[in-house]
Amino acid sequence: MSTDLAAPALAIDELSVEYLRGGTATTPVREVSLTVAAGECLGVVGESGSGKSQIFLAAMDLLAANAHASGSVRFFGRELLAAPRSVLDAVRGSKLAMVFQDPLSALTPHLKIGVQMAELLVCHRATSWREADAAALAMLRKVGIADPWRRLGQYPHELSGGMRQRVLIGMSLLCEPDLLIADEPTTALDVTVQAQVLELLRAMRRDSCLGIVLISHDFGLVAGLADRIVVLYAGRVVESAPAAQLFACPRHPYTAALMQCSPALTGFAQERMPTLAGQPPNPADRFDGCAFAPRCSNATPRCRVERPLLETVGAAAQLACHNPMST
Amino acid sequence: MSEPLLEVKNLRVEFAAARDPLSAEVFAAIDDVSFEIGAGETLGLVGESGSGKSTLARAILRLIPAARGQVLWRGRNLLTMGAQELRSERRNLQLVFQDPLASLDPRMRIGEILGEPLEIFEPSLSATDRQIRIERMLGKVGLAAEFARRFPHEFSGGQCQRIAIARAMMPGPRILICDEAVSSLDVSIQGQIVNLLGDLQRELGMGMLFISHNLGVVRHISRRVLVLFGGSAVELAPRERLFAAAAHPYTRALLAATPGAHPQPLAAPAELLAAEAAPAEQTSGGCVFFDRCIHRAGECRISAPRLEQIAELHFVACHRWRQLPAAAPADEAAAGAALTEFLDDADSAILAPMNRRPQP
Amino acid sequence: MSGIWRDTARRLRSNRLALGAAGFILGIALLSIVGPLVDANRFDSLDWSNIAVAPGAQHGHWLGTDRLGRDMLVRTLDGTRISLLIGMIAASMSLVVGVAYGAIAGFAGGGIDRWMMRLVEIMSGLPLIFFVILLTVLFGRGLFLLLSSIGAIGWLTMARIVRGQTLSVRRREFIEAAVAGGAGPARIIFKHVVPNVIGPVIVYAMLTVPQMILFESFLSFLGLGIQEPHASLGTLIADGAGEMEAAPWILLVPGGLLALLLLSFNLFGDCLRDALGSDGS
Repeated sequence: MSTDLAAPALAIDELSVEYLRGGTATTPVREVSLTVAAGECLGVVGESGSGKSQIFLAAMDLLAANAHASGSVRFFGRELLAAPRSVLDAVRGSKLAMVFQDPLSALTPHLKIGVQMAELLVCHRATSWREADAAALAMLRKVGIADPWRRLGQYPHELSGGMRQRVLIGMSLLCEPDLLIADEPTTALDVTVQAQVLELLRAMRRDSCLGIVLISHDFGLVAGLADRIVVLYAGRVVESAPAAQLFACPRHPYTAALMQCSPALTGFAQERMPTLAGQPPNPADRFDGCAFAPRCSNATPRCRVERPLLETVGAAAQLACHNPMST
Repeated sequence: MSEPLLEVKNLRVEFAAARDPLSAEVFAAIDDVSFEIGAGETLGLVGESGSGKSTLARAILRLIPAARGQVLWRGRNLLTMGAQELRSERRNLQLVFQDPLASLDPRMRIGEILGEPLEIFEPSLSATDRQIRIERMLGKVGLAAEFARRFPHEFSGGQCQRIAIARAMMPGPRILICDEAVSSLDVSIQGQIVNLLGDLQRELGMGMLFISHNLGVVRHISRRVLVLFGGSAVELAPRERLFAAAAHPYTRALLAATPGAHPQPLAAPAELLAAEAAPAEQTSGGCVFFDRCIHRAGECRISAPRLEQIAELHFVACHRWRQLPAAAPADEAAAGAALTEFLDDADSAILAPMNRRPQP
Repeated sequence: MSGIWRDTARRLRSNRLALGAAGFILGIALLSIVGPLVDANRFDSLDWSNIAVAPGAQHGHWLGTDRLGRDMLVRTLDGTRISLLIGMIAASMSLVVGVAYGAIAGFAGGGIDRWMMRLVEIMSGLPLIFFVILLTVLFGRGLFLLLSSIGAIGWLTMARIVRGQTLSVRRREFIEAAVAGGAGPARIIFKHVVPNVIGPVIVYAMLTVPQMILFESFLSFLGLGIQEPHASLGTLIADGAGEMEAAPWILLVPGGLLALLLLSFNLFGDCLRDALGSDGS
């Protein structure tokens, strides 16, 4: 199947991921459907138990051996789920790149930075090592690492966390991917470093037509970058809307509550910090009705027995709720 | 303010700088830090990685040795007490850790974990009385009494933290130190724990030291805030003053860089830092923030500024705080230019031993 | 603590391999105690009319006899009993000494730890067989000497393992929490460190038993171990090796049983480690 450039960068349709261990089944992702248009930045927001990382690990075929993924994941029209090795190798790393949360464990500890970076180009683009080294040097400069020559000859542990993450982003951009998936890229970093990394991502978007999927639990972070935002809870999409619209008027009670829980730095500081009662959902649980109902302030009896389906609302938004917040 | 419960004076904590055990080189993880906490008040301690905030918490409780300074609990110095006396004083100063599951013994049941402080400090208590106290405490932190029979790994992060708080509350402490107590929890339940801590504090009149890198959380619970950078205190102010009119360049950078949950996109920070947090290393006399400060001048390299009072209850350690512009975010282009300039200038060799280039 | 052990026992009960191995060991052990008592033959009784006969029922020697006419079944069971006893005693000795040594070194840390482990390293480097031979020449052979020399090997590795476990447990946050909670060193060691360390240690001790038995067999094979007329599996194998061509059963019976025993201990140890390891700790 050839690449269809008119198609969305990533089209996920009814994706479910299930793990079987012993006799128990865990379902971190339940029938998730979402789309990333070419060149768009999609923010994926969720907390623990939402399945936000698992969705994209499934897309990249990075799930554990005992995982079973069903549904469809199309990258520019090409099906990735259960695709043969050749298709995946052609796409992963070069056209579809991923950056993870912990930069130290994502880099090979005993190889120099320069080698790891150049290796990507040599493998995917069949360039010579010298050309690859030059490209790596240029990329290090581009991501804002001072003294790049010296850095190329260093090992990952000699760099700080923020630098490592920038190196990783640089690595992921070396092959000029069409889509970059960033899974909590700044969670392990200090907030001042986070600002720099975000600025870098923003600059990359400006320069090339790079699509980004930014996965995070932090609305504030996602607000700085995303065109559209998808909110996940208990493995399902509960709301999806253009960023501005979502912030102006969140319709799903979970979205609204989560936004409130991110503490603000300006304005009136209440004594009691806003919070959600109850526990985050467990991927092993089975729910009758809506998974959020036990913690929802808008819950009705219907919510507890009938699961709300994801429906289109207005021009570009989707919502799965029986009793949404009023506009 | 009435007699403070806890006074930390000129605390200094040193670690060996070189790998070589025979070398005498040290670097100061905490250098000359002083503050006070009174009954019923919360001091927020803010800092990023390498600021030494966790080291400070442990040094105060003498879990790691301090090189210099005093920690006065009701007038008596914890750092020079005998081991026996220190152990018995521990009932008054308790610590809540960052990783809730790791701070609970995986081989002990919740009931045993909660019963241990009673066994240590109130050994004459009968088993029945102990059980009653345990159940009462579980209720107080919002957990069912039957949880006492279970093991820590059966609970979620938030529940484990409640258990850890319950354990800390058992001996009836007067001072509670929370070391990043909510940082590893989901955002939507951080508030549960923060509010619980606030409630317990109000009820028992405890003094609290709340350590966090998250300014937003600190803002909710603290009355005063101390900002730490590279092991030194750079600013100490009442909460609202810090957030509205921070004086130290580092505090301002922190505030500018923290994304609020606002609808508007994150504005490019007007003030940035050059590189990621450096592990605290001994400067040869200059300001600890020198390498990353955009307002630095010659005098900043030579002499380290001390905390001086600039307003009511507001202290800053900076030579040039008066020269700082009023805190207002610049426009995108200027911010972008500032970014480029710092990234070009920065000496990002932060993990190698410091060899400073002379700066203009 | 009891809850963890109960979970472990439950997991072991459902593991057929573990049950089989444990059953085999216990069965042989029981047999080795009871068997020689009920059998007509005694381990040292000589049956001149049946020298070196093959296994069979007709002459009452189920597993044959050796070249002196002694019944192989009884001798093997007897030897197994002695080997098991020696193995377990030596393993227990090394467990007690090793755990104490390793826990103290690991908990004390610093200079004490360094020097204690230096001693272990030096002793590990010594040619132990040489010393055993030397001691045997000086003091003659005896059960106590045998046990001491076997135990002397076992405790070194046990001490290293326990020290390593203690070091890693000591760094964990709940130990720091216990200190911050006012617990003294005794309480920390016995209530917090030991329960969290004991799992891997017991597994290793279990895997040590076959090593001890093997080493004892080796010593006996060399002639330094159990004396006549008593036998251990090692002496039996030594005897049998000489008769291998003419009367192979003299070697195969004790050799086969030793192999099966060692296998069972190792399998059970592995199953125990799996059962203990997967409980969320």
